[in-house]
Amino acid sequence: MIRLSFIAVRGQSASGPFAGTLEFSGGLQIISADNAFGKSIAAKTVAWCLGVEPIFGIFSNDATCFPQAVLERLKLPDDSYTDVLSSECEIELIHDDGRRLRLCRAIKGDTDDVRVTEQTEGEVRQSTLIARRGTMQDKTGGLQHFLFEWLNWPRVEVSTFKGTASEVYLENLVPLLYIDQTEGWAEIQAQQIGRYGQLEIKEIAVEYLLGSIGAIKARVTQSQSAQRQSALRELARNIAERVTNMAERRDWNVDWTGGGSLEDIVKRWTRRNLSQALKLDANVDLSAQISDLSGRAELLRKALTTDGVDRHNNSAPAETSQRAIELKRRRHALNESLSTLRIQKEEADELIASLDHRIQSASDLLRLKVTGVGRLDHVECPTCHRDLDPMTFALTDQSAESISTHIEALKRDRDMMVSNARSIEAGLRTARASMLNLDTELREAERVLMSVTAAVGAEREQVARIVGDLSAIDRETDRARDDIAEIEELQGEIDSWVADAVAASGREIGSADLGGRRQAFLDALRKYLVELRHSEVRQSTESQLIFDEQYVPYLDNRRLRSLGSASDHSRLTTAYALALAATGTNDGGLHPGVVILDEPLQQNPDPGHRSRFVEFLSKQLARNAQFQTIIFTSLKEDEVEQLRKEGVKVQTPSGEKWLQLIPPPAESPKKIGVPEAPVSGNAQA
Amino acid sequence: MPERAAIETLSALLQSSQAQPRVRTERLVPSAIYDLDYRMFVIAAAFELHAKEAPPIRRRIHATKLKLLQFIAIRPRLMSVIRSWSAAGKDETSFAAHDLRRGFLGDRTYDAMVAFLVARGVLEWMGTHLAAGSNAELLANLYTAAVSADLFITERRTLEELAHVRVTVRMLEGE
Amino acid sequence: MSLSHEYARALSQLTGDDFQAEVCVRLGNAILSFQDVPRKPYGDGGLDGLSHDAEHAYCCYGPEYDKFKAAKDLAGDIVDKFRSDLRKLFELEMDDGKIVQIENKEIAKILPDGTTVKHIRLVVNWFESHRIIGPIGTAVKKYRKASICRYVDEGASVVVWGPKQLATLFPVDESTILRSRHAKFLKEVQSAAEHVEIENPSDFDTKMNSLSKICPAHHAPAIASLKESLLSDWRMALAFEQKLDGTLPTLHKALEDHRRRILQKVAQLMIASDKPWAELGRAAEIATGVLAPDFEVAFGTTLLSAISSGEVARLIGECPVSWEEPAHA
Repeated sequence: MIRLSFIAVRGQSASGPFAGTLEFSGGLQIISADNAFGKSIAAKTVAWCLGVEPIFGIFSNDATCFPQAVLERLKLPDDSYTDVLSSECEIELIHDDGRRLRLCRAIKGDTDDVRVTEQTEGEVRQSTLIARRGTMQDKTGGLQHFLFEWLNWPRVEVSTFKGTASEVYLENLVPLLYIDQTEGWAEIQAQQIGRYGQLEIKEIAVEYLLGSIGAIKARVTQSQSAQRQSALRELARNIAERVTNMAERRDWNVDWTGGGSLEDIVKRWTRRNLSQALKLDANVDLSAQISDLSGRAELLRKALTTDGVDRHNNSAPAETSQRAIELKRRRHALNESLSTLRIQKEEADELIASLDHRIQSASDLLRLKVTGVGRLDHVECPTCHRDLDPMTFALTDQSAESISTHIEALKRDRDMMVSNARSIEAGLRTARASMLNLDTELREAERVLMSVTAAVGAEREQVARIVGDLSAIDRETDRARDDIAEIEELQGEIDSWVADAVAASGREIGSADLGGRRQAFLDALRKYLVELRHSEVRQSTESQLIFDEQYVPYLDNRRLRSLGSASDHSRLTTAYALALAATGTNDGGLHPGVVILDEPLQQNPDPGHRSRFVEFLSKQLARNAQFQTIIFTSLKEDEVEQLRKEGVKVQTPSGEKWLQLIPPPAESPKKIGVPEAPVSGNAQA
Repeated sequence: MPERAAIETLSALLQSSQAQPRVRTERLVPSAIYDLDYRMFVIAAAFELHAKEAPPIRRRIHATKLKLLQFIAIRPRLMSVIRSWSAAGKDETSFAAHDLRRGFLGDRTYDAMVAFLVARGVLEWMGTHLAAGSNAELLANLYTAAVSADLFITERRTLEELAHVRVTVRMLEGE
Repeated sequence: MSLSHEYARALSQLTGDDFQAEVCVRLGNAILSFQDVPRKPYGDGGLDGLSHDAEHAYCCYGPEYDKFKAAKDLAGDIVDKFRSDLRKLFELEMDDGKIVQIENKEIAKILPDGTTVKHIRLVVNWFESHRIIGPIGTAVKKYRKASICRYVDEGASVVVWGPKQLATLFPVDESTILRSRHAKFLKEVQSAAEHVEIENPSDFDTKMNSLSKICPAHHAPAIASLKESLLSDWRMALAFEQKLDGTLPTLHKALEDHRRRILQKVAQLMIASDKPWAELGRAAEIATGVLAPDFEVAFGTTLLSAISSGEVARLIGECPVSWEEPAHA
């Protein structure tokens, strides 16, 4: 555990140097001063020196979390102002093992760095570390990297929504132990960092301070696994679509889907590979095709070179002509199919549009009936004033339920037509692909026909035909080889996907060390809520208080935050921070042992709330806590007296302002372990 | 015939499987295009957007024109047909135009609605025209309320577009 | 495009039984005394229709153009078919290249006693070549000489009618056009439905999946085929309903009302029966019975059958008619 031993702010103004210091001991202490004294400056100093200013929603190294008094103008006792020329703040942390650490950072000046002074067994070491940029990654210069080591805190990896890796940072933990006056009381972990996109960071922050690192690792592994699985499913769909497109372009009908669970997809994609699927579903065997083409080419070459052609064979013109005619006939038939499909697609689209319109009209009619907008409720004949029944005119006034049922039926019709339209589109794509292939074949056939026609004599005709056929075979072979290459590429992706999917599903989620700590935290929270006299949590009801999965307290199935009065919100936040400290500072916990509450009473200053809070502070639970609790507030004199009587440490710094001009005499050199002589009042126990 | 075989095949399969039959007659309901409120709105919108002032007589519209307009408002897919029909003028009309003519002239539900509205005093007959009746504000109110509630946008847009389509006497009354 | 022209075009696109059915409806509407001749169960004796006290005979042929490479082949096929029909009427057949007299027993059952055919109309869906006329005329001359002319007058006239003639001989009214367009439309949808792979929408899919589960595995191909047929019929029913809504709203209203009656009848029969699914098997028949009074005249028997099947498929697809796995499953 650590404790905060002092906070100091100092600087140079146009009127001379100024400073303010507060010293702290262990356990519970209250710093009571009037509003505008500067208590919040002191509280913010802790966050600033630790380099966790993102919790205020500001950019790194941006000191605008501080008020004007340390940034621009300092108010003097005579109510005049003097310009601030420079300012800095310093805190000291003392570890249980005796090590001391001072952190000093400029407020007005170069805010990028933090001057660090370590004291260990009499040895002093000074360094300058980077407050924000690379604060965790920079092993030599990063402040947080240093602090995690100094505190002996483990570095824990977490996932982000984007699937990238991140860590638990100090600014993720501080919102649970430093409750800022302005925004910290809005709710539990009000100032937790959301913009880093870390998954489940609120739960992880609690578990970290409880010391349940195993639970965090299990959680992170699970969310990484879920992300990975989601990414794999998306990739599978993408691969399946590309396979389908590839097949449709070649008029191959192959069944290769990417839907279902990862397990289903792995099973499907390992049962047969893409080539086998093509062979079975589409009767496509490219290797056999190439082999066959090669054989044919060989025969043709032999005919040209060795065997010679039959000079009495006059069939070449007729055969090439017949081939071209056959291709034209097939093209014509395919064109008719395409034409039919286009018409069907148009008609399907028209029907879908019509159904969409009818669904919308029926939905509007339903709204009209339900809201009674402009309806004729009572209809009577204007002459005889008897009721006019629409049934008399063979008209029907349908009920809202009837219209709803009609809408459901229309939606079923629409869904069916949409599926049909998609199927027609797939048919169109396939038919277009076939058309392209046919056109290519037809062009080749016509080329050959031209050559044969131009040739004179049977021999030349045959040679022309053989040459033409050889070219066609070459082209077909090239196409087949390209197809094989594309299939191999896709198969490679499929294999890689399968390997990743198997690995993803094989990962086991580690067991967590959480149960006992979680229960201890809950027990502590119940105790604190009762002691703080939360209006909904009493001794008779405390057992009903539970945590949900995100450590949000629930009472009787309702969020505790939504129950009780406005004052109960600050009680809940206080209780939460203290209970976590109480639990997290036990064996195995990682809580640093410091809780800072800035202005808990200001949240609702009604007398009842004040008295309950003051009463709580004098109770054993508060006074005897092993961890350090520093409360900045504004108590009345009688409240201060009451607390001091109970043995509670209450500091009432003197003067109207914490930061005061330092009188002219020269400053004594700073000694380690001895804070600068405070200008304003010291702690008065 | 394959279609008949389908239902017989289904029947045979279900019998052999001992599946439990479920007949939900409540799931079969009339189409919303026959609903009184819906038709009332369409007529109200058509009247509001297309009836003309004819002082000293109240606003009126040719009854057959109203019939045509409300027919298309319910079936916006027919917009292209009426446009080309209107553009064809005295030239040979298309088959689709003949369909449309036959269609809207045969709309008995509209006839029943008009009879109802006349009985209700919302509309009055004036020869071949329908004029606003003593209770005509019901139509105006219904239209205004539906517009405010953003209902039946497609029907309203269709009627607005129809204002730019010339509907001739020849189209309404034939040769 | 004129109505006649449109009708002629529609006729030319019909083939086989569809063409014959349309011709019979057309002639039935135009000629009061027209009687179509059913083919089953004994054959039609070469005749597809009769009128004018059986003195006018009609033979129909609607070949599919795609099967022929050239016009002359198509013309040759038409000539061959009509020659065959004429031989039946003249009670002749070819035996080793020679024309011989035979007995056509069925014609005796079709024609009234003592009646002979005086005018023969050969109705075809393609009449773009005059080369049909000569060969048929020549054949008629030969047959007259060779036949004893028991049922056909020796001087009987033989005329070829194509789509244009059929369209212009009688007025083309609205239902004629609608019927022909729907026949063509339904044919297109039907033929396409055969090779369009249909992915299934959810409720219907659930039902068919439950059918797959509760029926033995060897029924899987039948169920798959059944699914496609029902979806195809359902689509046709939707498309038909839309056309009807835009062109014959009175019939559209009637269809809505009849749909309810069909469901009620089917439900009543199923509930009252200890074999409810057997009643479902009759659903199309029930639908035809309900729809016939309003739809048969306008659309003919063939289309009526398709409409009925479509309505039943729609009742299944839109879920008024459904099934569940048996309780013990």
